[in-house]
Amino acid sequence: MKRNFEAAAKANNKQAMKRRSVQPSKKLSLQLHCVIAFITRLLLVTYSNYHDKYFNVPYTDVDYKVYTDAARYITKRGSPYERHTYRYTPLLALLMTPNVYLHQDCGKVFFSVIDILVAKIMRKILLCQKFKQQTANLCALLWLYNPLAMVISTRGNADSLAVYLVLWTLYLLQNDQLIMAGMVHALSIHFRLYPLAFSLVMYLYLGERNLLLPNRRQMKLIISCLLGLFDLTALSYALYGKKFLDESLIYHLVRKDVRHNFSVYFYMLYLSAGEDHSILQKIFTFLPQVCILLALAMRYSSKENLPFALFTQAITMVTFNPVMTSQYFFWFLSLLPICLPHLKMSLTRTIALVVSWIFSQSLWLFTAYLLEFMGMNTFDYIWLAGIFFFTVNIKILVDLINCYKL
Amino acid sequence: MSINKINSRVFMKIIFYLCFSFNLIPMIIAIRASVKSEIKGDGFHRLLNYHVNTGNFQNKSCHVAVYLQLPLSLYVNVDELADRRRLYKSSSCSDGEVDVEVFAENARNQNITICSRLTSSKKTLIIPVHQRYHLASRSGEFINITLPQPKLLIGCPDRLKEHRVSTTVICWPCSEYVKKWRDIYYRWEGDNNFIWQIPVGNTSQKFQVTCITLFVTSLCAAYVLWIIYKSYKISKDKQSKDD
Repeated sequence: MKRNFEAAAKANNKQAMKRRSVQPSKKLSLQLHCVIAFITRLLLVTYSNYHDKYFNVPYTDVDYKVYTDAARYITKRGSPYERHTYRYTPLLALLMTPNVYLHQDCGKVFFSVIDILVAKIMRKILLCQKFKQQTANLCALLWLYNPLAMVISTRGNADSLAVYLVLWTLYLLQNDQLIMAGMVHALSIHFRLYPLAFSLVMYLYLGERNLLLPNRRQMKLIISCLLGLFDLTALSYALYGKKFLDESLIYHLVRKDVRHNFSVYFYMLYLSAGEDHSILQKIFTFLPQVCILLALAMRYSSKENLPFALFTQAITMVTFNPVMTSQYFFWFLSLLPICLPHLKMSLTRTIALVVSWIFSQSLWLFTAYLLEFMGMNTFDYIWLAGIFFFTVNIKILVDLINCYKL
Repeated sequence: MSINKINSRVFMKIIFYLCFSFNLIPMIIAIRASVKSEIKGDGFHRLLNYHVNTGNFQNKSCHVAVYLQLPLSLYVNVDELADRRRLYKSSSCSDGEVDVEVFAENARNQNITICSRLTSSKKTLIIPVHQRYHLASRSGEFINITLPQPKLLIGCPDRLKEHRVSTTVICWPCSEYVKKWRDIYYRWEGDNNFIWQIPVGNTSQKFQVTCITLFVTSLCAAYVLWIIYKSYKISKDKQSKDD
């Protein structure tokens, strides 16, 4: 009996040793992928300089120049808001000061590093949800080698930082670190306003049997988030005054950009530019979005559903937004890998949806190219392409909801 | 014959001295410049090129500049110009409107100056120009814009007394290169009758566009809400079956 037990213990030890020897190598392989993905991004950053020099349409994001200029003002002890169209937190301009002091590509490298960290936190979130290490690694790899993610971060778009903060909040919530989650959520909202829409589902997620009054856990999240927001706003206000409030907060709330963009509402808003919009029009523009966001928050606020709730809410926000640019796609694409294991969709349907999304987007881009770069009057076609792109996005959202299985 | 010849010589000398004493001689040897403009590209973003030829005049210590007031439909991006100056692509600057997002109807005037050292008698001065959005019109037809004829200025460390000092207000950094800019009369070689056509939306379609857009978005939103409800019902039924 004793011998048997010893033999079993030995076998267990051997297995444990084996597991230990396997795990580091697996971990190493993901790390190796991280290094390869990072090097690929570095190559793209190098290429961006070549492209910008020799091509008419630049690779580098226009906003990257805006951040860098804003950082330049900071280095001259000025305000980042002296840079026209800088409408972000002053923290971003501060993070971009190495662009001025060291090298113009420092910011792009920084966003690429954040991109790798996004993949790592995705893996952690999936492991928290009790997925196998293999599944978690695969989802992380999907992000690491996602061409869109690669291009967006190496163009110098700061949204990789915004999505990292959203994922970090999610990770902290899943680990019940509520005060920290509230603070990171505050930072996330301070950085980009859109995570504010996730607040309700996060609040409901912490609910127990209470309906009206918040419970202890919800209070922790609310108070830490409000305090964090207040601190960050007060600090920025103390440094840069009313200009900070006007540019990085109020502007985004009352934004009326009616120049051509992906939004289904673009042409309607452009045609009525310079006039007061009727109440009915305002209601019909915002009510559908609000209703879907509320419905998704109520439907998917349970623990296992939280990532899917954020994912579908991000799609809704982007699809129904009166202003939509390609960088907004990053908001929901960053949440897709952590929902993938729950999506039971056939390969044919997946391919059909991806192809239709790319096709409808390309169609819109073509009509916009004719307007912007060829000077042709294609407003009607842009409008029709916008409606087509909108319906494709709705179809994708519906199919995702239908194929989501826990 | 000889008396006539002597008389004509004396006459020529008198004219010469008269011209000299009334400061008219320099006018005869003044800079004979010509300017031609060319717009490259189509659409919202184009390059405005001014080919300046200063003829016999060439002085590397001098600077040449072209100044013009842009029509309200066009603008230069001050940050883009700052970027170009930083990269030594060109020295150009602007005064006036800085808002790149404002519609042409609400924009203020913008004056631009493109300057460069006069390293040769033939210089091309380049500036990127963009078009502003216009409010939609009832006909939805293109708005045609022509560019005004620019002013040509030259500034040297030495006095160019044959050309008067310009009263034009030149923006920084061109204003810093020389103390006094002087107006130069030039031969305008035109811009090949260039017309910048700006597409605008058609307000006669506003009702249809608004109705169709809001109908499609509302219908799609209702469909999504129904799908959410359906998925909720399915999961509830499944749960009750499991129980």
